[in-house]
Amino acid sequence: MNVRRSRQALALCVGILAVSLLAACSSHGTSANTVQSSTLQKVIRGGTLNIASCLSFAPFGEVDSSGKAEGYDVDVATAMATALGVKVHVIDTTSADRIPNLLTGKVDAVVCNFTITSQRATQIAFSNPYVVAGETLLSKKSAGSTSLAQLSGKTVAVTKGSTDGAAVQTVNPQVKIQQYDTSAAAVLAVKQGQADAMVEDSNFLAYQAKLDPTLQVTNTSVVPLEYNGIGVRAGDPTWLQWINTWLLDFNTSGKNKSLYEKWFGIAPAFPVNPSY
Amino acid sequence: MLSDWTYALQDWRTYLSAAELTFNLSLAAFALALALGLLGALARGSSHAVLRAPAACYVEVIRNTPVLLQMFVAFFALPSAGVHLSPVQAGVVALGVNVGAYLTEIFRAGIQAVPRGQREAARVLALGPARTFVHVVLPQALRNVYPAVVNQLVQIILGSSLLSAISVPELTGTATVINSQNLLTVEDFGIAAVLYLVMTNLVSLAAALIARLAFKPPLRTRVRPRTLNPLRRLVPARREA
Repeated sequence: MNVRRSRQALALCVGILAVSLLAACSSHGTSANTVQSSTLQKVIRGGTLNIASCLSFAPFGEVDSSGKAEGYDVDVATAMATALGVKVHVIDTTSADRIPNLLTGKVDAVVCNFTITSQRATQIAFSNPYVVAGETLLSKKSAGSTSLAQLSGKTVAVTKGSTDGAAVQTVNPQVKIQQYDTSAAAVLAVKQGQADAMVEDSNFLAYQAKLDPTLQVTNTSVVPLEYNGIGVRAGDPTWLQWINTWLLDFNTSGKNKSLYEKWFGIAPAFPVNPSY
Repeated sequence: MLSDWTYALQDWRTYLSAAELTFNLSLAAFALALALGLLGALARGSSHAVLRAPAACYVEVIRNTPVLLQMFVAFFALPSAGVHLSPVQAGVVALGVNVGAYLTEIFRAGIQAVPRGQREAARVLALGPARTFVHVVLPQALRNVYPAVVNQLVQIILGSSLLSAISVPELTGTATVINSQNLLTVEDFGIAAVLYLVMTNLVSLAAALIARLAFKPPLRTRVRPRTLNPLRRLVPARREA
């Protein structure tokens, strides 16, 4: 009996040790400081640009009937790869996995409706914004909810790892939050009456309401505007600078606007750069 | 590095309440699974096809579809049929029904493993079918299947992590949310992993204690292999003259 118990204790210790070892490894990430070791050079030499995008977030990212990634964010990533003269490889991710994907070096950049926040910028670096969004409220037409104030005690669906959960609770702390893995699951929860409303990117929700006439979406943003950029690993100024330079070209050439119109069917509602 | 851990541990209340929810809903699902498993095993062993057929259907349908899909059905599809379950209720039902199918087969095997002579002896002693089952077959069957049943409880605790997909704020889902706020990936999931280890080990320990009190003579969970001289194994056994 004693032997067995001490073995169990040993197994537990080994488990804890393994976890802390992993922690030790993670803090030894190398940072690319010179031009030669920049992700920019690696991408050009390797011939492939690895991009994480959220493919459950139409029309930003979705999977077409033949299983290929498509959408606004996917087109942005493709335009970036074309400018570099390399192939694009899109990897599906979720809101919560965007930063881990970057930190573990699985992708070169994240193009997934990635709102620029100073908190996130403590771990990764953001490019200049390329698309702007308000966060609007989606609900069933029959429910008639038009503001968060009406939703005290009701449930509001958001996605894990997005900025919405905290934003909603700041506006109305009496709202019950349900956190889903994907925006698609949150929309399904509203459609099936499992959540009374959801808060998400205005571009995304406008598209969802267009697809399903039983849904309605508010016109005004329930939280301040969100500026979305391309996320890269911190400590690689060469790569970040290239992306910003390319974005300037992408925006001024009108390419960005035409891609937006292609996917959303309307002109961008807010200017890409903020005015103070 | 240590400061990362202490920073991540600032959310310990949230982790503990998530672990408590995980534990409670796992126990509720396990109770449901036990009831379904016992009823299912009885129905599968019944001599009436009216009882056997639905039980067989239940086992085959549930065992051959993924549990994540069953959770989606319980949460996202049942509202179309007018049944609105909260995320936790849907999770308990989905996990309970899923593991119930496995327990049906485990109990059935345990009941079948009780030697036929036991039943015959009970009949000779003029015990009715119900009393035979409760006093003779079931105690021995439970003995047979006890370790496998405890395994299923551990499976439920671990499987409950899938419920984060239907927005249940259980341990894994909570770790994901905290991770998206403090961005300490290794620390957050490390804490969650340790909490799972604590929960499953506590359950195993409690189960071992219960077994020691409930089963006489005690269950032997570990059979110690006979120590053999390794050289002796190479030599063919001596034939008795």
